[in-house]
Order: sequence, then C-alpha cells, then structure tokens
Amino acid sequence: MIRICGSAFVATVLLALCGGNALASSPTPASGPTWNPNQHVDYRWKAGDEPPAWMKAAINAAAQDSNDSRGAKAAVLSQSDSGSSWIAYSADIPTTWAIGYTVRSIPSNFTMRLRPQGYPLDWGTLRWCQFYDSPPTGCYDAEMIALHEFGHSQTLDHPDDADVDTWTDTVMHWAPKTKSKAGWNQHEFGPCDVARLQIRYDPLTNSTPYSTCLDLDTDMSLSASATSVYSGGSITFTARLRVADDASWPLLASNPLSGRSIVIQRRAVGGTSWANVGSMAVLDDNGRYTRSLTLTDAYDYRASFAAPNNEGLEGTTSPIVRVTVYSSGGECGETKSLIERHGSFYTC
Amino acid sequence: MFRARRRTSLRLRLSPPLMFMGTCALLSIAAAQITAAAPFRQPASAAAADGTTCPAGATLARAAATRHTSGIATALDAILDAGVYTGQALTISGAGRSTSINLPAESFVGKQMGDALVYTRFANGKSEVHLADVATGCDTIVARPAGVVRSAVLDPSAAAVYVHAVSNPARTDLGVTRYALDGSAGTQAVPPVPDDPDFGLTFGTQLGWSTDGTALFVQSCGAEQCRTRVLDLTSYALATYADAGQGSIVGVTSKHIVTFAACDGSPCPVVSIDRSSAAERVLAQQAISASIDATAGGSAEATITTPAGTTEVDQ
Repeated sequence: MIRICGSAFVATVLLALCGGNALASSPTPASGPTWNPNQHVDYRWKAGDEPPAWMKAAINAAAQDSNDSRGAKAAVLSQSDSGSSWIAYSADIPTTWAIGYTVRSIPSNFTMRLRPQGYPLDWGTLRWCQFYDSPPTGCYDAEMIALHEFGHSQTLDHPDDADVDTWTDTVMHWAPKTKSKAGWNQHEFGPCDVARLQIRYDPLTNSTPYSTCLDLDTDMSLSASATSVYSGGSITFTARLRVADDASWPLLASNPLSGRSIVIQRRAVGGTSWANVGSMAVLDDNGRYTRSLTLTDAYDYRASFAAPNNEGLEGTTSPIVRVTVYSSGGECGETKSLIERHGSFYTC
Repeated sequence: MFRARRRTSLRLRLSPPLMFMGTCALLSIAAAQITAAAPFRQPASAAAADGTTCPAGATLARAAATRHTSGIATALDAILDAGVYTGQALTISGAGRSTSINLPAESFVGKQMGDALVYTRFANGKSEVHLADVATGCDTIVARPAGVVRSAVLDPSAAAVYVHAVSNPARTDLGVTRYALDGSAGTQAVPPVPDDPDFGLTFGTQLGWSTDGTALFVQSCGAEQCRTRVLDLTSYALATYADAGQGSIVGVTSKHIVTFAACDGSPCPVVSIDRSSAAERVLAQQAISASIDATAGGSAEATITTPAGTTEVDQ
C-alpha cells in the first residue's frame, strides 16, 4: 500500500500495516481485519454496472486463481447472484488514476470496481487483453488485475518493488505489467503473497507447503517405542515435526508439519558421522512420522528434516536417541539403563 | 448501449422551471422530459422562450457562480457500447424537466460552483472547454485548447478557467493553462509535470482549489503514486510535493495538503502534508472516507471516517 523508500511517514505507515517485516523478499504487506478461516465470500455483479461476458470470465477465473493458489485459510471466493459483495465494471472509481479499486469491509463483504475498456487516461486509452481475439501489446490482463484486486480483498496491500527480488514473487505490485512484459499475465498469487496469507490466516492444512517467501525454523522430537531391545528385536521410532515455537509469526508457531520427508539416521556409539537408515512414514496429519527398525547393535539415532527447496522451512534434526542392544537372552532388568536420550536414562 | 450510472455530488435544488433551449450544434440530447430542442443555449443566441438571452463568458460565469439555485440535480452516466466506454451523458434535471448532453469518451465534467458547471470535450481532433449555467441552460465555449483537453476548473472569482491538456497524439503533458473569460489568449499557469521514473506514466491529473481559494493544486498520479503541485496565486510560487507514498488528494488548505496514501482501495491511511515544511503526518490509518471543508474564520477542517467512527481535524 505504501512505498518504503523515503519519508518517515511512509515508514511509519508501513510498519503499522505490515507487522514489521520489511526486508527484501519479505511477505507482501497487509492490513486490517481478516476474514474468518476459509470464509466463503460470494460476489455478485453490481446491478447497472455488470461486466461484459469476457470480463466476467476473467474475473471468475481470477477468483479461482485465488482459491487455488492462496495456500492459506483465506477467503474462498465465488460468484453468486445473491452474494453480499459486488463487482462493478464502471468508470465511477474514486480516484482519477486507478484501473481497479477495492473496498473491503471484512468480515461482511468487499466491493471491486474495474474501469471499462476504452476509458481514456492521461497517457492513453485503457485496453483489456481479454477484449481482443489477438490482444495487442500494452493491454492489461484482466484476470491478473482482478486477481490483484482479490488480493486486496484478502487484505493484501502493495509491496515496495525495491524489496521484491523477483517480479513474480507477488501480484500486488503497484503498477502491474502490461503485455508483453515479464509477469504481465501471472494467474496465481506469488510466494510472498501466499506467505502473508499464511501469516494472517494459517496454512490450509498441516501438509500445505509453506511459502518460499518465509524462512521458518523447525523443531523435531524423536521417541522410541521401547527402552531396551534384544539383538534382532524391533523398535518403533516416532518423530514429530513442527514449526519452531518461537517463530516470528504467532499464528504459525508450533504448527505441526505433516507430509514432509523425514529420514532416520544413526551413528555408532561414540562416532561422529551419521548415515541414513531410511525414510520415516507419515503417521498422521498432526506432524508425526514413524519407522520401525530391527536392531542388532547399539547406535545413536536421530530424525533429520532437510530444508526443502520448495518451501520456506529450515531443516532440523531431532535430539539423539541411544538404543542399547543386548545379546539374546540378556535380562533387561539387570542393566537399568538401556536407552539414553537427552542425557536422561530410561529404564526397562 | 449500456449505461452505467455515476452518482455525483453535484446536486442542487431549483425552484423555477428549467428551460434548456438553444442552438448548440455540438451537443445532442439523449434524455427525455424536455420541451426544448437542445439542452443549452449559446451566448448571443436570439432571445429564448423564457425571454432571456445568454451572456458571454465572463458575465455568464459570474452570474452563474454566484447563484445557487435549488432543485437542480446533475448526474453522469457512463455510456458503454458492448462493454466499451464510448462517452458519458451529463443529465441536468429539475422542476419536472430533464436534459442530457452526450459527451465523447474524452470528456470531463467538473464540480459545480453555484450554478456554473465546467465541462470539456475532445472530438474530431479539437478540444473545447464549456461553461454552462445549469439554471438558465446557457452554455458557452470559453476555451479551445491545443491538444487533448483532460479537465478544467473555474477559478474562485469566476474570472478564468484553468485547463489541463495533453498533446495529441503523443499525449505528453502540456501543463495547465489559464484562460481568462474575457476571451484573451491563454497563458501557462503550471508547466508540464516533469518526467520521473518513480512516477512513470501519468494516469490521471486532478485540478482544484485550496479551501481559501488562494491556491490551485494540480495532482498528477502515475500507476503507483501521486505528486502534487500547488500554485499560490498571491505569489505565483509553485511548490511541488512528491514524496513517496502519496495517493489521491482529499483537499488543500492554506497550511496543509491532505491526501490518502497510495492505495487503490480502502480502508487507506490519510496523510497531512505541511505546505511550508513538507513534513507529513498520518491523520488516520484506516480511513474509509475523508473530506476537507472550509470553516468559519478562514480555517479548514478534515473530516475522516474510519471503522471506529468519524473524527474532525483542524487543517
């Protein structure tokens, strides 16, 4: 909503609107109250200002783009003649310069206006690409502009372009590109848009990828099913992965992380190098993973989560679990401490 | 043809019957409930049915601007043809009568000052600035600017119009030209807005007056943000306010410029810029609407509505 460069005023407003993070590639700014989680928000065409068919199709496609790419429990948008929100195709926009204009009254409704094809601006005539069979250079992609406006309806504001590493990190640029500049027809929220939606609304599920525009620390625990094992016996390990408790964004802190790739590793007791034993299977959708192993020797075990390339999570490893293995016929009760974990001793 | 109605704040009340008659060939009637053949009368036309004649520019402006006839309502309807904006219809109605002027896509209708209404049109390669008296129906062309006229505003003394135009066909800014209503040649009042990559192409330009009527403001907005130039008509000093993050203007007082932040929607912050120091102050973070009104004693007050309520701030 505000450019970051320059004035103290801008910085003040930005901090107020964005909740702090103003670093490069930071999540798109946002402001105001949020919709309820996954709130269904229906929009209708404003009577008397109904868009032509080609614009309606672009707007509906943009609503679907928003639903498909939000990656968070942001509002679910759909067209309905009884919708409490409305969209107008109108020259009546409160500014002389905007080609789209959104007013949000969350959690009740929003309104959106898009200027009509052929509207004269100082620099020339507004052209929407969807109006043409063969869109000319310099037209605006109505689906992307509508997605941008839907972004506003979801509480997103404008980023400072100086802080955006890659143009497609967001569709909320102050000045969207026209055909055929790079990014002129982006039909999904950019990762920094998704990041802010996740910060404000929480990811859709525990297995929803976290935006690469985030950089979240993770924590993982590891437990074993038994405190002793005879050689050839089986132990079931259970790991639990979550966003770190002290994550910068309160709504995301401690969130379970399901559906990720977790590997269980071991090293010889007293050793320093770890070797992969195998993958852990997803146990549930609450961030738990499991792996059963048949043990013949004592090892230290840990679970490892490598930072994925496709989401904004840091890698982590669990604390070490040491399992002592006794030769067949030994008495568990004779040793008292067979599994050492975190320096604590667990007895049979 | 599809019309999208645009409500305007240009609403007056008029008690005497309207008699929009005239011979202006450039205007066409699109609305009903009118007995006359044309909406506005040109100056120097023969005596109209109501027995009056239309005065020329300066006299017309002074008479209309200082009169505020009740009962007149004006409205703008966008004219769309198969989804394409082709123009707008200006409708003036009152006392059971209604008249409508079809304007081309490249047209502008200003805010009324009393009964005076300035509108502009560009068609067939020519620009015109019109001054109309909404009560009498008189309409005169007060300027024929070069290029493409974009907007115009009558000065507070109703002695001149200030006209913004862009070149044709390049559409580079031509600045703001003052046309005295006595028919003398136009003189440049505000130069073209300089190119600046931080602002890019200019999408819209808005002209207006400070609440005390001593300064003309010219706000030029790019796709991202705006910059405002203020011409002090007492000193003819031109000040530019172009810090980042400026959005649509709310108004200008003798001391401050009040704008929204650069949002393309609402809620949106409202900011006050000190005209002397250019220091900025946020008046409200989540404004839904804002306006500036002159108050007694020559001061002014900003009225800002937020979800929490309405506040008034001296400006």
